[in-house]
Amino acid sequence: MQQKIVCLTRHLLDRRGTQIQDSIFLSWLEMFMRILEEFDLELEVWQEGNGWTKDLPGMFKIHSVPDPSRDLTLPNVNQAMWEHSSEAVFAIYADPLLVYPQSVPVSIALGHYIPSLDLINNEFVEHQRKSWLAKLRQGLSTVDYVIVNHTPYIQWALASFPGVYHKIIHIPDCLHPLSTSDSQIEKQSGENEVRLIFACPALPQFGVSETIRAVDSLIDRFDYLKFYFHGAIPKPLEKQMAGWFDKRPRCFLKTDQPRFQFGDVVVFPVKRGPVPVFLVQQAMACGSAVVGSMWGPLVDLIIHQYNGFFIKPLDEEIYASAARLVRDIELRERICNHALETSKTLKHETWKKRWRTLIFELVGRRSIHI
Amino acid sequence: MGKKVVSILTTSHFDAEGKRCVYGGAERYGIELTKMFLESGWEVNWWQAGLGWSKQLLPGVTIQGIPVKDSFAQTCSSLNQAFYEQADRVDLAIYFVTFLCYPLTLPKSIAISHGIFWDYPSWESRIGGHLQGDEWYHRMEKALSSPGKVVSVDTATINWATWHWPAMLPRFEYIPNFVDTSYFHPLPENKKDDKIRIVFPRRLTTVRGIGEAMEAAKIITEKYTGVEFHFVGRGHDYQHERQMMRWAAQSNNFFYYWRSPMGMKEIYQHMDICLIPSKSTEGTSLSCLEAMACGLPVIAGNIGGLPDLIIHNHNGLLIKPSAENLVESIKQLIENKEERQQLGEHARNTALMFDISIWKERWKSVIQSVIGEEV
Repeated sequence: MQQKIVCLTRHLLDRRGTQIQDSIFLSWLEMFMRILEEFDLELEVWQEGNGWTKDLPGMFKIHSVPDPSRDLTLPNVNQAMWEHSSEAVFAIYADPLLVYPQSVPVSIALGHYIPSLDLINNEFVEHQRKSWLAKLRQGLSTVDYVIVNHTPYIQWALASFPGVYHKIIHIPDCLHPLSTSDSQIEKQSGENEVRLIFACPALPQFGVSETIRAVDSLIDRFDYLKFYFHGAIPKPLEKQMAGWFDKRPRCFLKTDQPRFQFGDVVVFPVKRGPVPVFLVQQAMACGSAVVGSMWGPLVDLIIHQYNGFFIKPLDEEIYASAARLVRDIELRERICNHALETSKTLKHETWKKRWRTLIFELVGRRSIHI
Repeated sequence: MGKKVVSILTTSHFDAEGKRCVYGGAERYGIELTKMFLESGWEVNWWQAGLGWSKQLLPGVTIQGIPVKDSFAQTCSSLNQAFYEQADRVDLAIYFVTFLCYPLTLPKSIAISHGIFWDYPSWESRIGGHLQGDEWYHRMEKALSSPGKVVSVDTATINWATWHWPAMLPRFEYIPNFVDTSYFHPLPENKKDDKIRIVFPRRLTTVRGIGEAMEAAKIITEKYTGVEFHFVGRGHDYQHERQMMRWAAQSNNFFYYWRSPMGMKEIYQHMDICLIPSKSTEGTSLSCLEAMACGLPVIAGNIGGLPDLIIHNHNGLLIKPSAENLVESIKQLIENKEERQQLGEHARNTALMFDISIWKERWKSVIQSVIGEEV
């Protein structure tokens, strides 16, 4: 019989279990599962929801448990998973807050993004913030390791809770294996035109409003610029977005996956929230110039003006950086070349090797607890 | 029309008596900033905590030592207030350390963050315990909210501060540190031996990973007899430096000495690998940039501003700086000459983006946005 690994996350699917809510983490789990298979381990996922259980074909089973908690911990789900995990080899908590109130004997937490206290809940007051921080600290110190995919997380943890360095392991994400075939296609530069891409969902945390406003000014200024929007659009916004694109002949609303090899500049003005790291890496691997916010995994991928541009996710900064890249072909080409070179370091094999080493150690630890 | 005047407030460019210059990366930053203002036709004066003395920092640039009481909660509010009272008729005030903006800030002002310095385990005890830590946090928020702009040498500080106080983001400007790439440059390959020379170009402090580097040096030289380790940097005091000399004397492969910042060029040019294994309190290290400009692959700690300079396996190696990880990374570069050279080549190309001319232009743009006039 296969042994199992349990994973607690917040909302991989929505509360009703009808659609994917966290596609970034789902892509990561997809890759991660392949390594577990090498160890003959199967994955079981727990999340908050209406009490349903679903099988994602070819992937894993997901259980949902209702949890009214509003501070980003999910004590009910945590407990439910704990009660059903006596046979689990180890547990993965999708972020350290989910470790509250107790962790499975052998466990790791992932550090993929740092939720901002002031942005997650507008009803938080000081004592709740302190309690939240205490739970976060508990999470970081209870698990065997915290596996972070970007160095800003390390610095944030050290500056917030000095003394947790020994718990932290940095395993940067690799270029997603499914995207590498795309990047092999030769770059298709448009003749006498520059293509700007936005590849994230039309949600505030991805800087969609700032991008749209910046694009308005950019297409007025550069008559050879084309703008492609490739993100998902929430239902209530569909009409409004379609109306905006209808009025602008050089702006295109696309529903398919972004084809970065047809893009020259790709913007990721992500605010506080998970960075779609696979998309950023894919854009770089296709030789596009990335303009992105200076946090999350972007910090480990971009050196300002060497292989991309760092910005604050504000209209004027998106505009200024994109305008520079649009008008300066030499700069754009240099940045694209360096981005392409950088992407060659993001090897799937390296990522797998580091995770294999860790999983091997965790499996060994479990045998001590039996 | 007279010259514009900038006053710069710092804690300690010289010691309290004004006799000994505390010459580290931040002080070098201060000198280059002063030169930039002088080149632009400004009058510059500096202020710091001191016993009432006045002296020249550079020709025509004075530095005043203001007598102040002890600092509380790692801020110097009495120094801040003395500066506020005495330097009010300036066109621009620069607070060389962010907490110096607390509690009062002159109207046209810029604060500088040289990196996170509160990330080592004994920080809270050094500051005086948990309650003092809360007070420091309160003062830091006030200090970062007051100046027109906060220039940060790394993205780590911006990340940390805007996580705590999201609305501060527009106030921050990321201006990474600099290197003079025309001065710091690689030499054409003309090696006369097969030795691999590794340099640790930092002060001999624990936060810079000196212990781990020494341990790695012992392990590596046992296996590779043709490898030399050069520890180039000052200690806390003469006793510390003597200890280091004694340690280096144990092996023909260890060397300990120090050079002036400009004298480091020749050192880098004759090295093959550079170690910057910082564990905390790090910004965008000048030593790291200078080594990169000289074409060296750098093995760096994965904290502070170092990830703003190094992309793992592209222009250097970014590691958790344990002795074990250092040994593994050094071995990797010793055994792969081609990789070493390619990382060094990319390091040089990267350093060009941090040239001092770019740094000056970025600074001028920030000053312009604060004073509302072209510099």
